[in-house]
Amino acid sequence: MILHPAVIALVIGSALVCLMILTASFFACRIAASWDPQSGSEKQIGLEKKTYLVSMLVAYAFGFQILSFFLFIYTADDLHGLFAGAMCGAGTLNVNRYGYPSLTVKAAAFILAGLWLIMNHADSLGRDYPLTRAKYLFLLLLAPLVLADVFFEGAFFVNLKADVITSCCGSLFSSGETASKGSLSAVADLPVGPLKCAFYGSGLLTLVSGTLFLLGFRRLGVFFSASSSAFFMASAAAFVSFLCLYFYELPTHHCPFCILQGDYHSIGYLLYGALFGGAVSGLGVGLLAPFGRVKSLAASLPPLQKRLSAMSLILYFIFIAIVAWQMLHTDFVLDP
Amino acid sequence: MISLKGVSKTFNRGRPDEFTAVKGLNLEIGQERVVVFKGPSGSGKTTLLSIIGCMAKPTAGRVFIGDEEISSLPDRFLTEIRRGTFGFIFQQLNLIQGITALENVMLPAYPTGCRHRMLKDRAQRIFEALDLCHRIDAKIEWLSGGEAQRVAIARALINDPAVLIADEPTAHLDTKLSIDFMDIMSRLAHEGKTILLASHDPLVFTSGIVERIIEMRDGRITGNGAGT
Repeated sequence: MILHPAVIALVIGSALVCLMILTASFFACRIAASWDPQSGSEKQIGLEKKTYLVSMLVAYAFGFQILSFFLFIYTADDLHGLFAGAMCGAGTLNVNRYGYPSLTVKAAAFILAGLWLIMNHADSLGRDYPLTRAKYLFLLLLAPLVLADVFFEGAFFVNLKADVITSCCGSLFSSGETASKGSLSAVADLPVGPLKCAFYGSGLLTLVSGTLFLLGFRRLGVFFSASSSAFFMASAAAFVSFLCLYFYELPTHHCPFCILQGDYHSIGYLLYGALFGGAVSGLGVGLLAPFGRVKSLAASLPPLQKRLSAMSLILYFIFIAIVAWQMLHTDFVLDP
Repeated sequence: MISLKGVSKTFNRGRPDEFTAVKGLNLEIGQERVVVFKGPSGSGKTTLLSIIGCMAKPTAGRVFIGDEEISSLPDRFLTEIRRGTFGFIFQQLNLIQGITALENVMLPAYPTGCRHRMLKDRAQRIFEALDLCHRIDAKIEWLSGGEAQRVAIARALINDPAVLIADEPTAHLDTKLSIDFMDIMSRLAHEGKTILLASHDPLVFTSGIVERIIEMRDGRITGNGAGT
């Protein structure tokens, strides 16, 4: 294990998050078994009093979970100088077999933790704990993911050996090298034409449905949410496949990590932050849609959904604006 | 209407000094304007008024105001109800020394966001109604016991609450000031406010304005009848 300050911060932070989520999961089991808002029993009132504290605890834990995604990719990037062959975070994550699974679990945890926070916020808007049971059941589903995150992250850092020779991103994310690569890097070899259609098509659908939803077409909430998540996936794939080429100005370099470095003004953090933030906000609109009929949320949920859809559109706009600016202001031409 | 269903309140649950102040009370307060909770010290009057006034949550049971169940509400909602529905006159008055009577009265209304000018006008009208205009700019430490009591009443009225809760309001007053206090309560009751008093002072529960007397002992209701 390499005792880098960020590694220590991540390991301790993840251990604390794990502890908090396990504690909250125990409470969630009690909620699942005994929650009855109609009852005035001592047990029910005790649960009502504790739910505020436990929700706050989980909110902080998931807040760290979201930040830890960026800290993790920063750490991977920062450590690359210690490993022979590594040129960026891609090489660091390839040092052992836990790196990329850890990244994948962290990305999933980012989105699901964000959704839980949205649900928690919606619950706090109602006077009668309208989503309490649902959000704690959701937490029980999330707990294994948090445990998996702690496991993969811990295994990754514990097994980091400085004498390992790893692959550089040039070999991991270059076109036509699929035989030696995993599923993440295989994205680089996806056919560009259909991917462009998916990227621009889902982007257009997200923009139109989001704008209509903001204008009052409430039935489009779920559709917007679906198109927003489709745009997120298409954008992530398109970024590795062809968008990043405009930043690197190299036709064969598809690395999603080099863009985090100072040579590219660390613009990757803003791009990924906008993309993931847009996805979470967009999915949040759909997540809340089934609860629109809850009486105590009837007044407060539609404005919240509107704010989320507006936030999603703004964040996606930031992502598109940065990419478009780079595409328009570079001499690099992808298609001859 | 205020109703309580199976309300209990236990302090220090699970500790050697565990104490149940209120035990499974069922109570409805309907159209009565002035209700007195009568009983010796430790009978649970203050605890019960604290629960009704959203100052404390029951350990078990539910409290309703009208159709709304309030005992389960999270604090951010409970604060609104406490501020808008109830006005409190505490036994120790709890006025803030070092600031004026007017500032003390206006203080509970600051979180409502009401404009300062309007708030000041409202406070001045309450001072006029309580015949206290001449002491409006006096600091709390300069006031007599009776004046301080009336400032406490003014403060309880600043948010125009529907229910006024007073805990042992005459405990530190002489007979004349106690009668004056009950006169003020009578006026407020005629203005439509519901007044809940906790007291074991005969001057209070034998007063002609009292419509209902609820007797308490050891956390339970032992008597429930009309006033004299």
